[in-house]
Amino acid sequence: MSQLATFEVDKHEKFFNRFLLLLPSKLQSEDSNRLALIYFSLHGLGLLKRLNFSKEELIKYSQFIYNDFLIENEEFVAFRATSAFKQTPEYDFGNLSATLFALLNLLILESDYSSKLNNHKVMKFLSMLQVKEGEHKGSFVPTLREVNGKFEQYGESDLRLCYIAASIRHLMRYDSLSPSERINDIDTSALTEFVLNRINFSGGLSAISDVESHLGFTYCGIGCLRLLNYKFGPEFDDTISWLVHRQVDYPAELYNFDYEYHQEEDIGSFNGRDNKFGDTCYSWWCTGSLALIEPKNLSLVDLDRAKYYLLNTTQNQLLGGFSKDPDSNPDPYHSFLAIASLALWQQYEDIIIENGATTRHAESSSDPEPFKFDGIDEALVITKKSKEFFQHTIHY
Amino acid sequence: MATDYNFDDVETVKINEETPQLCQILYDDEYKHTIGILLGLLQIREYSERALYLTEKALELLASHYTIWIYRYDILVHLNKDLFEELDWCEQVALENEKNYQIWNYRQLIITRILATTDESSKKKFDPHREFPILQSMLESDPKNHHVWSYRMWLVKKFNLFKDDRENEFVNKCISADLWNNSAWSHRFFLKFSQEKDIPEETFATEKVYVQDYIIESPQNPSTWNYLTGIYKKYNKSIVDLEDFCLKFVDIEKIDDPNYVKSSFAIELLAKIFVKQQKNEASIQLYDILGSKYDPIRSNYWDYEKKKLISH
Repeated sequence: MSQLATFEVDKHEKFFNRFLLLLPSKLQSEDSNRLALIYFSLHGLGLLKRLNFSKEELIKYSQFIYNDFLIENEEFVAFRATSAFKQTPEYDFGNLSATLFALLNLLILESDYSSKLNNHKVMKFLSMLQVKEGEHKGSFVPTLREVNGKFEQYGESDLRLCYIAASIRHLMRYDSLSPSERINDIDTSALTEFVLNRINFSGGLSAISDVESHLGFTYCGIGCLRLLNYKFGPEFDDTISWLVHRQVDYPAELYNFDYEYHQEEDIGSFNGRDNKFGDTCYSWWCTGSLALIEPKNLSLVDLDRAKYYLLNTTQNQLLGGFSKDPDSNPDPYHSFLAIASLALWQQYEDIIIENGATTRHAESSSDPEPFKFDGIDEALVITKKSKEFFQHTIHY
Repeated sequence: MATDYNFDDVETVKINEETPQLCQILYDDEYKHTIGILLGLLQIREYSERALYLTEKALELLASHYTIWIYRYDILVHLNKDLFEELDWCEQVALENEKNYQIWNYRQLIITRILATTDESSKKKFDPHREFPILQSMLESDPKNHHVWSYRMWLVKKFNLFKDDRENEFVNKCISADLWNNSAWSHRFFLKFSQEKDIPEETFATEKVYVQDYIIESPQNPSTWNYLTGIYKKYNKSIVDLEDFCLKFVDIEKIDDPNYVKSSFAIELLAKIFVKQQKNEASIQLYDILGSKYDPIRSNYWDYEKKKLISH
């Protein structure tokens, strides 16, 4: 392992700012993920402590989120995925993930959404999306459709949507209301049961029952439980083992690289499933999961190697940002999750050193003062500053 | 837009491109034109052939927006279209764009409707085997496509294909083509073990031999070792039975010499077996060698496992 590359904070700042300003037409197919792209860029800048909007800009951009994405009708409050559809009320249904990303954006834009959004109506939307019976009972679907004047659920349920629903419930402060005040609550015990039943024989979690364990869905399951205040116990030992085995290594004693999915440059990275390529985003999904179960679990993986992979292999030294793998272009999703990972490891550095053998804590010698990130909330995946704004300002 | 359909009478809806915005998209003319007409048709809830055609164009541009799929489905229902033709259309779309994930959920919706609207007396009935060729071509181009495998599991469950010969033959072929394909192993586990609580002893025995042969062929493969320990867990069998099998890949006397070690997974499982046999010292020795030589990236984890033994 050669010397760690410098963390190019100025270039990353420019990278996110370019995205916030304009997206080229080749990204128009991402129109329905726009709130997510905004979230990656804003919280990415926030983690870099480089989000410098004026008061007027904060208000202006919050207004943009409300104006273009908010849906309020007699029954529920939600956000839409693609702003253009606000012009077609007959076919304009709220979307679960858009609703979460809108709220997370409003937090970092310091907008007190509790004065604008009725929490019971947001929770009504969630209740309408929760699967009430069958093998997916407790889980959620992404959206609704209208059949003969009535709403019906549309789309496939999976653990990602469970996590999103639990996050929204927390952001609506339903977990701090008394049961009698929670007039539109979701069925949290069915949700918990659905998640726990997704733990596979390998310890990993799968999207729906019996499907291959997948690291992204594993994070979502663990995050969902954490947001429901679940207490993790020894039933997660196999999960910890599975998570730790996501870190990629090919010692010469046992591997000769004759399998196309085994790449030497992936060493130190994390993969999402067994025998797959490493990928920047799994740095977050793995170490975020470990930290959610208990922060000291972060000492169980080799963070020096993991850091090397991010800084030296997928960081784009020229354009800023991070790419999925060394052969791809940087994008906001992988850039945000790389930075979120680095921020998380820095946040728990003391605990990691205390619990692990990471005495050889390598820092780039050309960078004697390591860059200080803002803290990160590993359950909501937002900046510490936004979390504090939530705690102090959002009251229902 | 090259088309036989005329949309001149449709009031095109303008997409808001006014500032202030964040992540503003520079839509090209085709996008503005197509989505503009689509929104115009949605406003008047037009269910027509030309609207059906337009949803195809719109989905090429914006596959990730659920509403367009919902609209397309509503058009099919209103026009009472042949849903088998719609399945053919889905196949074209899937083959043209492998990254179009929404197509699989949409396909489930179409099949569910076919089942609800046909019965034994219907001329055309849905045969789940009609799905095999499309799934095969999708998995040939990406053998680990998570969405396609998930769809395949849905199909197996929906039509009870757990013991279907063609399904089982398919998964055998996938494994023999690439015994490192974890998706194929997961699918096999699903076929063999996900349904019944009491699985016949015979299935356990044949599956054990099946996977052990593949471990012998390639000992450093996490997928096969997970499958083996997975069936032990499922059957509540003691892993101590596997001691001799593990020792085929590790010579404990000469464990420092890589010529006598073929698998870190064998060492890992042996360490667990030794704990069960209350040979903690032997187990600690194995964790040490994993951390120092055969799986060093997880050395902290092996230390953590060791500490658990020392503190007990």
